[in-house]
Amino acid sequence: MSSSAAPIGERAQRSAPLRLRAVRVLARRRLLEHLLTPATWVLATFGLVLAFLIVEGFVRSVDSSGFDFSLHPPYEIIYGIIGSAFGVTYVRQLFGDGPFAFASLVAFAPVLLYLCLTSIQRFGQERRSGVVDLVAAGPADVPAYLFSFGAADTLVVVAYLALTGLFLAISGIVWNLAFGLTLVAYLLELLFFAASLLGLALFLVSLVRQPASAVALFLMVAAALAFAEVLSFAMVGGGPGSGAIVASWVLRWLSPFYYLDAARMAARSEQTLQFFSALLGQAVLCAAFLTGAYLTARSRGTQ
Amino acid sequence: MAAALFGSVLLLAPGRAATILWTDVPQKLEQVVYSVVTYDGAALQSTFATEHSDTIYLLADVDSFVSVRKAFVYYWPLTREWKIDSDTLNEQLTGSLVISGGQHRVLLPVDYTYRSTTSRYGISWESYTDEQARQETSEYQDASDALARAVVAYTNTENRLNAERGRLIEAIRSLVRAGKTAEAQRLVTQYNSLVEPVAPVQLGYEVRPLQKAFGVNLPQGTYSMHLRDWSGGTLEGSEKQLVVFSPLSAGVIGYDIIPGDRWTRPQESSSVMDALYVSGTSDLYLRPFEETELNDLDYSRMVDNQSLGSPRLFRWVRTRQVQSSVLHLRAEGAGSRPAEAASIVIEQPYFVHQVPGSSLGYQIVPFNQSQPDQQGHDPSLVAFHLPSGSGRLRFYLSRPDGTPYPGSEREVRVLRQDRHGNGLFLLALLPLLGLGVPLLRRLKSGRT
Repeated sequence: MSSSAAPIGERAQRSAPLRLRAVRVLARRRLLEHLLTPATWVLATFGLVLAFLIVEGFVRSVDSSGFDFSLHPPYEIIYGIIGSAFGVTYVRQLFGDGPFAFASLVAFAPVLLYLCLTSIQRFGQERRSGVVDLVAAGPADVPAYLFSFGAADTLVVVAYLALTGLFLAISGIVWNLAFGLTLVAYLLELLFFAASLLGLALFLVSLVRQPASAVALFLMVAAALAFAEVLSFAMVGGGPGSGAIVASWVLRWLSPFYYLDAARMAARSEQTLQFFSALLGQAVLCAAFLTGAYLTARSRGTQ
Repeated sequence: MAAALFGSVLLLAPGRAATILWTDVPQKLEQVVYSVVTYDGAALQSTFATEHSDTIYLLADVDSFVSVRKAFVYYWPLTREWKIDSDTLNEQLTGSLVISGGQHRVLLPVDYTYRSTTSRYGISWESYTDEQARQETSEYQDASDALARAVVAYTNTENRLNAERGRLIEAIRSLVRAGKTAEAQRLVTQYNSLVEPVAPVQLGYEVRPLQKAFGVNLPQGTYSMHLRDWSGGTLEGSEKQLVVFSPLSAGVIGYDIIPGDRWTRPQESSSVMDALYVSGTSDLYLRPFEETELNDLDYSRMVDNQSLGSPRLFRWVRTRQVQSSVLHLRAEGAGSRPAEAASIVIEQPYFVHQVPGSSLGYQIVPFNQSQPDQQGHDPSLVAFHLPSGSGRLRFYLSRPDGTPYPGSEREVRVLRQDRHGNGLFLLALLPLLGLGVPLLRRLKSGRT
């Protein structure tokens, strides 16, 4: 086995077709793992059931004067929680065109979290057990290994988002809810968001030796970024603001949550350029995380 | 021991009494205060900025008026805001307002006023400065005086008429009692011939008293400003940052959607991306208005310099109701009204009256002054009427010549609430079938 003193990625110059083939083989292996894990199916079901409950609750919250949060108790709670975090304007905009923006996000959250955590766990384990070195000794290298993880997880994300989109579209037909380009825009945002968050997960696992520590670090960083995003919506008085608010403004450029919100708001305002800029920002962030993961793995070795 | 306790009580008593007496009296500070008056397209907004606030917010390319004064300010803990005690000190400071950032500007105070005009669509405001302002206030003063004189004349005529009526009634009674019916009849004819004086017509507008301030109308940007006194120096405490902001979008059409059975609970549709979901159990009345999309923090601080806002959120601010417009409808989907597949709706006045009895609801009916309950009333609303139905309804607003208003397209969807979601719930459980994949795999590997 190689040691950390001799970086694997630099050991041999692999040709592009070989590397691509390696990515394909490794990604297929990872994809098979997802398909053979019951948790994947259970969480997908859980996400869709959540989406169903949100859409059904929305339908029950409409009367002759329109949508009213107070008509359905769970929606009153949702209104209270999101409203207190982001403000009333935000929550009204979130449900302005129907329940699909929120439903798609909630349906996607458990699956995405699961993918991130399993990626961290699996990468950490395979690195410790020497699988990464073994694979890298052959035709693959560390970038190929990392990209295979990303590719397999992204495929799962695409499949699940397509399933969610189909489910929401059917519920739209059943209850006469509007769906169309906005739903596609929401799903597209979530795809880029997932790629970015998965990139962050791989970057963090490359920093820490222990898989459990990597999971803890990921959860902590993701929670901090999400909190920073909430803070950036805080009501301020126009002055310099508190240290936490200033920090949240700086952190937002490194936060997948920021780009997700920016894309969502741009989609709602029909600002095509801003929407695609937010997606581009998300893509750049994902690339930066993957590059960070690769560089860390190269400099510190895979063991 | 008792003496020590008594002594300490004596020592503490004056302090305690002082606390009770003066704890709620706020400390007043003499400060340079900026007063800001501006029009946001809907209403006249006025606020003030004390020395504790370093930034003033104004709308770009809109006439705003800024004056600088010396006044006492104090913090009011109950509402957590600074207040002005202008009764004790309210001295307007003279000089010139220097604005730097981009082009250097030195502004001198001008006379200004606002004219508000009331119509059935609401109140609109217009600003005037210098000669025009003086002319407006002078004309308004003349018109007000003329109206006051007309009201006095009307009241006098009305009083004289009432006195004459009283005199005639007394005379008729006396004549009837005396049996002189012919003369009584003559007086009755005279009574009937008395003409009611015509009440003077109200002005329908108001012009505010003339005031002096610096007229600020700037393009979007961040500026710094201070008051330069007549000696050429900067007045201490007058340095401020000026944030001039533009709307994200303007002239967009929003709608008040008023259900026929719930007049008091209208829904608002601000964005063209909004879909309006209703149960379809009641007719809808639409009231279009123009609106602008403004940054939450900037707008909040323009309206009230001490308020809070979110710099990342944008909010819709309605400006005025759209006048003389036409609504173009297109019904789509199952159960749509065939007669209204594509139709035009004209704006109509409506009257709202409370349903008598225990139901305590409201009913919206076409405005008709010949109806006894509507006599002497104005219409409750001027709106477009959409009868209840099912399916989907798309509409947009246009000018009378057919030119569509930008951002006026909307969609009303009547939800199919009678449909249960059992089938959908089963559909959500469909991924559980995927559990068969690992099971099959295990079975297969077990066999091999």
